[in-house]
Amino acid sequence: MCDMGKMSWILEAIKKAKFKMKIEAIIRIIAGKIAKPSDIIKCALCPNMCVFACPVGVVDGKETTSPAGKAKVAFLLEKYIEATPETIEPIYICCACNACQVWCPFEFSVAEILLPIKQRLYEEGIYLKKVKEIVDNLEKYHFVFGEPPKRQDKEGEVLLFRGCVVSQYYSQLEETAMNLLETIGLKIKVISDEKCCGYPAYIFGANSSFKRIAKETARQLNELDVKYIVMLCPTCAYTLRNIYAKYGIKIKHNIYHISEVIKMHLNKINFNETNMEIVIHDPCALARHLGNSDILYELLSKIPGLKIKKPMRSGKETFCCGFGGGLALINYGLAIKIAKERLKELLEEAKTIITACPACKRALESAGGTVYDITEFFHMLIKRTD
Amino acid sequence: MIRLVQIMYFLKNYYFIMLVMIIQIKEIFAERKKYEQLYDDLVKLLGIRKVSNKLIDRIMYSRDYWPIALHWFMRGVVPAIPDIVVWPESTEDVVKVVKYAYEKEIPIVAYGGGSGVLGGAMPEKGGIVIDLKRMRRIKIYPRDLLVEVESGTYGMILENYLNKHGFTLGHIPQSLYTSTVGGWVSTKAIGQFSTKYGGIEDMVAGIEVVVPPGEVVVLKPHPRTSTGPDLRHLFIGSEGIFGIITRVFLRIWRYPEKRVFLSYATDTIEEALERVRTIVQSGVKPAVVRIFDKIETKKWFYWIKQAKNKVATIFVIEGNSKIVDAEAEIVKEAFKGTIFLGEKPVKHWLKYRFVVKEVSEFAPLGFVFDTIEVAINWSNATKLYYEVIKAMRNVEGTLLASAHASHFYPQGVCFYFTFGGIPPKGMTKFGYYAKVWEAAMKTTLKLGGTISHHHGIGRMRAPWLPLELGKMGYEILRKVKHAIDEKRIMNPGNLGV
Repeated sequence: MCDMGKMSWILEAIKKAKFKMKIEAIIRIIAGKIAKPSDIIKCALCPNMCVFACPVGVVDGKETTSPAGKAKVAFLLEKYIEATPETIEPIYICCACNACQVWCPFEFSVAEILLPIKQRLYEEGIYLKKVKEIVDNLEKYHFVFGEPPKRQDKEGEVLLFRGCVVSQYYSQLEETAMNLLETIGLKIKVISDEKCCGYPAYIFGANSSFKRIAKETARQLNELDVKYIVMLCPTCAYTLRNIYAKYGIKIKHNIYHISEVIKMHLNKINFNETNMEIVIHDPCALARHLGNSDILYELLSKIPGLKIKKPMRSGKETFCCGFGGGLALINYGLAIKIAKERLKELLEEAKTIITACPACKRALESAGGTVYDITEFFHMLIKRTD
Repeated sequence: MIRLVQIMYFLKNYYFIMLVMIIQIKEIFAERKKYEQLYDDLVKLLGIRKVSNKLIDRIMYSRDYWPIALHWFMRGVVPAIPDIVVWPESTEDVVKVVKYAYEKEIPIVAYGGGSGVLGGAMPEKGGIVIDLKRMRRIKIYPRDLLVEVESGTYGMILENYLNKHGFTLGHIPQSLYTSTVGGWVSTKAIGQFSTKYGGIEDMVAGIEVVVPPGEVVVLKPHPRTSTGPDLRHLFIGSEGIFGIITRVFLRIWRYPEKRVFLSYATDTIEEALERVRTIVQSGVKPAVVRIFDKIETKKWFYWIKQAKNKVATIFVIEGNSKIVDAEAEIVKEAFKGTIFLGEKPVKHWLKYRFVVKEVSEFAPLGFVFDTIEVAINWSNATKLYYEVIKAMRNVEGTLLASAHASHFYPQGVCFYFTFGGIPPKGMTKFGYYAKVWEAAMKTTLKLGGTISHHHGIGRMRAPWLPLELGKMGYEILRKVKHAIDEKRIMNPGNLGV
């Protein structure tokens, strides 16, 4: 509930009411304070004031999968309707991008408030078939996409954590990142049997699986003798840094996203001049979850001659690429439509897109865009002395 | 006679809605097979991605943001349920659906953001809900100061897009984040910046509507046209009873180069109203003018000592800098001798004007809240304010009755009332709710005001529409409806027709 100053107009109105009404109103307010209406019902009763910012809400265009719509579904599942694959599906149609949180008067993340019901359903054995497949992959292989590609070990002082998307689709990006980081003086270590951070299990509500995977990943990382860990994927960084902490799972090393590491070493980097024009796509996980809403602009503005454009939705208000929250794993068709929507907006500014997330790169490339991860872009423009 | 008409409409709408149309969510699982043919036909016409007969989708389109329906929702009750929901992606898709529905005589309800507060987008008789939110293309014509926009576009996306290109529509309703362009036009909406930019009716230059039996009406965007009755106004505010708005051309403005914020405190609401009347009648058009009564001043500005037990008035003046400076001087002159509160209250209001949380906080505790907006000419404005407040307070159960005046014209003003209360023992929430509404509507009609300024009629206000329009006026509306929609498939029951 609001603070007393904000409530004063209502309290004053109640004061003027008849004694019986006054008592009833006070009892209801106190009872409400004790019982606390759930976040789900508060969200379900909202007129969807964040929907214009929600990629699913805008592109899918359905009330059922809009932010407040999902909360309504969750409320009905809790109280009135039977949970079936059909009735539960809408609550999984979410990019977990937290755009809703930016506009919510209660600062709710719909993805977060839906988690308890997803967890309950999963525990009761009620889930979407695709969710089960992904969680089974994670349990069996510690990798989202099934059996992971083979990788080599490399010794060094700073661990480069590539993440599932890079392992599966962008092995070249991993090499580029190693090269860039070594150019700025870091000795990079990689491990062949890197384990998934577990985020898909977390966001789909497979709580026990997530905890098992997270503990195993943490155990592996904590056994390593490295100075810190650099993540290529901001969602992995968010998971290891923030979600593990919520579960009391500790990682003894500092966790950084690669953009943060580049920023730390920016004074060691010189760039070749360019007349390129680019547009920034801020990844949700970097701009909102990790709170680095300006970092890409800050880094790119160091490149002489580069013309930097921002799209209509950028920084903290960025629009998801569609592949966030595992949506592409659940509903690829919708995810790619969102990617196309975002690409259209980006292309109004420039033909070349710079981002800092392998999932965003994959989404926007799948939609037909020319996309560079900031790692690749810096690697391309860095002035080498050799 | 008038009373009898009122009772008939009241019974027709509320009794019917409450006792016949209310369907327990659990009970409708069994009904699904019956809709298969409809589903198959529409899938053939539109493709599977654009059609759903899933129960969960149908429940989601069972109502709009009519506050009393929120209480029913919490009890697991829906006031109506469509048989099917479709998401067209083009005008051609809409045409296909309307043609099909006309042939089979199936009701159609158009759905935008669902932020209407009067039950206007409620599929009372089932049938097809057409959700237009996948139709959201935007094109700016900078030289003509026009934007062409499809009706499913969210307001905030349109405004952000215009701003990015150096323009504004100037239509900023509190529902901006959640309402759609089609919803604005079909409910004849207005925004907070209306005193300068006008209501949506002032912005619509051209319109495209699909009407039964599935034909497209295109009224092109001209600066002005003298070509018989203005058919655009047949559709603006028609709330889906004639056709489905698919595309509009709206007049836009260059983004204002300057903004001035001013605010004042006066002892009474009549004093503030009188000063604002002199301003708007002098030809000055501040974008925003809002007069908050003492309760709402406390709600918004409890943190300002000088505003304690006062009536606050805020102004946003914007546009060409020279004009803005001159208008600001006239406003300052008109408010001479009152307490100047500076820019802070305006900035505070601008920051929090989209925060909508009272319903989420208080409805689960059993409090009933709603807002009622009416308008009246200046001569009876103050009287209307006091009498509506008194009438709402006199309904047993009311804890709170307040208002602000938020849209101003040389001829009069719109009051936006808020009420909140707890139904007394023996009365349902709806019973209490209907009593407050009746008190406000009767008082407004008695004093010569109009029963709706910008929320429209929907199902909640339908009983009072014949009284507002008069016997012949209402009859004309009915006849026009039946001429355009001979099979009565377009949002049947809405506006009572």
